[in-house]
Amino acid sequence: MATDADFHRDAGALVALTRFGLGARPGDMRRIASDPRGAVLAELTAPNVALLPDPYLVSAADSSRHYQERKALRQLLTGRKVREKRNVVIETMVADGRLPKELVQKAALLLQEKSAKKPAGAEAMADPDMGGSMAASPMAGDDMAGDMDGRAPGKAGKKGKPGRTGLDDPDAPAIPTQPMDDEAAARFVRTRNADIGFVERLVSFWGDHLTVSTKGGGYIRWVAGAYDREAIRPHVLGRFEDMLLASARHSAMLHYLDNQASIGPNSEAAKRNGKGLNENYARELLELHTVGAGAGYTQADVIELAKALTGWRVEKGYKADNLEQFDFAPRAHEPGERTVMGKRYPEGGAEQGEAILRDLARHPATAARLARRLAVAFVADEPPPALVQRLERTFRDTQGDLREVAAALVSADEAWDAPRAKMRSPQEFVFASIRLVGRQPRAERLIEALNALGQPMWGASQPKGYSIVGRDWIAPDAQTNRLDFAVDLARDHADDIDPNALAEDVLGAAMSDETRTAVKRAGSREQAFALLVMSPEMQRR
Amino acid sequence: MAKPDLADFARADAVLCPSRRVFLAGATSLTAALMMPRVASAAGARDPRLVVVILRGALDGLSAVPPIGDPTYESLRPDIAIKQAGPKPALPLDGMFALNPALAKVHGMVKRGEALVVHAAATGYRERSHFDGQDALENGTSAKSLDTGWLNRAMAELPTAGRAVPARGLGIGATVPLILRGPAPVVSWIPPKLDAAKEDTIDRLAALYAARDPELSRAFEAGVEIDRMANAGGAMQSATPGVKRLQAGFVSLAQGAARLMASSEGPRVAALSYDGWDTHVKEGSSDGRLAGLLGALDLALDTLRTGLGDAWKETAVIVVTEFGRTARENGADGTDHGTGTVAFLLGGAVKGGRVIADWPGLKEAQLLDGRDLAPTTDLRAVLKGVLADHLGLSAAVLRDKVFPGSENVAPHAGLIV
Repeated sequence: MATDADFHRDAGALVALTRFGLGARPGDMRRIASDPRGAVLAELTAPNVALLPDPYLVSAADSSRHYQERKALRQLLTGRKVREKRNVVIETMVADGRLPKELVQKAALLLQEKSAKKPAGAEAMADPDMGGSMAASPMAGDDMAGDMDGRAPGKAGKKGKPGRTGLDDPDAPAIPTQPMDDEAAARFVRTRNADIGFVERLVSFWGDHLTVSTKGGGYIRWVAGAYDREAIRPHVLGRFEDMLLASARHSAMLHYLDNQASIGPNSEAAKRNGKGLNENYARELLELHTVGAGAGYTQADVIELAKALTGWRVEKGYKADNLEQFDFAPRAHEPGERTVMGKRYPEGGAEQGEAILRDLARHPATAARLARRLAVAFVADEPPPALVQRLERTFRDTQGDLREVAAALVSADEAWDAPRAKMRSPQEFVFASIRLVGRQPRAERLIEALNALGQPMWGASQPKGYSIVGRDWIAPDAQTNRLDFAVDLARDHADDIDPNALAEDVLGAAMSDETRTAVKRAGSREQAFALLVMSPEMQRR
Repeated sequence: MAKPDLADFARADAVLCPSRRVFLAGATSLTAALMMPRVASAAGARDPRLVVVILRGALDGLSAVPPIGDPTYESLRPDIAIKQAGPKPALPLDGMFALNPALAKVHGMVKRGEALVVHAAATGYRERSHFDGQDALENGTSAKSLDTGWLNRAMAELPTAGRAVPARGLGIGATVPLILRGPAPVVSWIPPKLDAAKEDTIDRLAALYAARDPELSRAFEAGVEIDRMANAGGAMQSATPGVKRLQAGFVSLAQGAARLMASSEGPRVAALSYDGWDTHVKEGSSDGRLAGLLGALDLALDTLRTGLGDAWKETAVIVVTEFGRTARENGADGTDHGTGTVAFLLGGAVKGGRVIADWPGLKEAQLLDGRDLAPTTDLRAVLKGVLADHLGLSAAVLRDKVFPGSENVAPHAGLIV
């Protein structure tokens, strides 16, 4: 029978693993029982703990190149007229010897035959491969967005399957595939391997705070995973302002919040093509990424910030060495000094915007806002004020040193004493569940589950990211969908599991009698495991 | 004779399961061992089929096959005993035993001599844990640690002469149940859905939330209600939608097994599992949950018969469960974990038309530990008898390889035609 001492020891380990970490795996509770807080803190100083090196994952730059090649190749291989810009891609691939010249000639012939057979304009209709799911994409000019909306991994364009055309040629090069599945799979593997997972939780938190979403269009699907690895992870235990700047300069963010398309009204570029300012990114920077609504900024500040950030863009030329890499464009930058939230910034290039961003990152309102968000996300929907104040003070005292802030969170007794009542988000729930089983579940299953539960990887429907309030995830269909996931997971994994032992192992003395009895009296291993996964102790943390 | 084309398996899978919805799938499963058919040169020889149906959760044998001739029976179960008269009377087998009214088609098979009941049977396991009990049922011993199944070991010992060589390294579907794990190659197929287990899990989770977490309880109850309304939409039949879905789930699995096994090149041994038999609360033996489950099982067994067609003549189906339930009903109109229960043998190859039972009686002193139907037939004797006479395994192999530790359990002779 569990004694009081057991209970306190288990409760500490459980808080360490569930409130701060990704959830207990078999053996984890025992492993850290002697010093739960020390174990969590230790993760913050483990070398390279925030990085996710994986030989199968490619950089945003490479993904961007693949993205363009895929568009061009699909067009070529389905026998459609290759659009102007994509001819550059085709020509380059031929010149590099990656695309046989004969194939291009065959494609040209096929195109001639097609246009001879039917009136112009009918070609899209006669091309079933490019219709169907592709037609679902709302993104104009983004004709390959449909292959992965995360819902049903369609694999429409998997290697060697150019589609129903006259060009099912064995020599045809493989069409590059969109890396979203691989990115998610790498995350799922890390999720099970992380010792406690506090740093992974921080990655999720900051990635969500500075969210880029696949809902923002086809291109984001190619680079959202790389964004996390390139802009978020390197700074999760560094300075907030560095993370903010890395995000601001990343291709994924520049496309997602449209700064790529923002041009200073009085810049050289505007004089030539008449396009203008796009305030989207500037507004979200103030409202979501830094000081927050209510910090006293006005519409004028939004416009001033947007102007300061004009010219912050990526190079888009396929042949450029720095494709989709940050490349400040002076000719699109709005000339003149700027005033943001009462402070004047002299005329300048990229350093003007950088100075503003650094000031916003260090702003007291930012410290207060991020402190509260961290406390809500990790501890409670209504966090103890003393905890929020402590985090805010640490943020300000250390100029936004996120490792120090994370350590302050773990060091605060308030963070440990709060009742285990916070509802897990769908990702937290799925991640905690897969840490219970003996084998890595198939990534497609998890992607599908997260979709059904309303929290796909990199899939927030708005720039504000997913809700960090646990209560928001409690809903009738949400709970039955979670049961579907649990039953499904149980069917695949419960065979190798002793549910009673597992329940004792991962919940210990913190397990309620009702849950213990429900697991013990279940009619099958599968049912016992599903009930454990669905128990209040696993739903809340 | 063409080599069995394993691609056929994949195709069969696709045909049987056109709308496979991975996400809603559950624990019910069908697994087929790739014991291959006899080749054409052995024409005229028998080509036996064996199907093992596992009822997970512990079937109440006293409700499935009520001992209506035992004077103590009704007094032990004032609220749930199957009555001999009334709107849903028991289906009599002999003076002593009858079948649950939901088992009408099985009753027909017994009457035609194609099915028999073994009563007061149990494995060698004497504790009352589902998991360990199912392990014992499937690994064929009372040792928890053995991680291969008796059915697989039996396959591995079959003479290969005259049979197409089984392909190795095949795996379709998620996991293989213990009964079929081991050296002989197996495939598994998962049906589109399995509402039986799900309904029961829903009830249990609802109870857990009600006891521990009012907020989750409210959300969950509302979600379940929405699902039920959605599922009921369009189905205006008199039968409740739950029963319809239950039957559809059971039957689709049996259809899958029958179709695969009827094929000239299909597998010859299969294991099916049906979950949801753990009737602690509101057992509903004649018009509730258990009746629904038994009705679905009845339909599924009949589906095997019709689906196998001519092959039914050469088929034996064994229906088993990990243990029985308490002889007395509990305070919640249900029954708790017990020991002795029933097994069924069905098929054209079975010498049926009877109940095999060395009846121990139901008086207090006759019950095991004063609570359970005492087991008088070792289930392994029945299994050994079938494997010996139906598949031709030797007594030595059965004793040493298939059911180690069963020296004292002799094969039950005369079960197969």
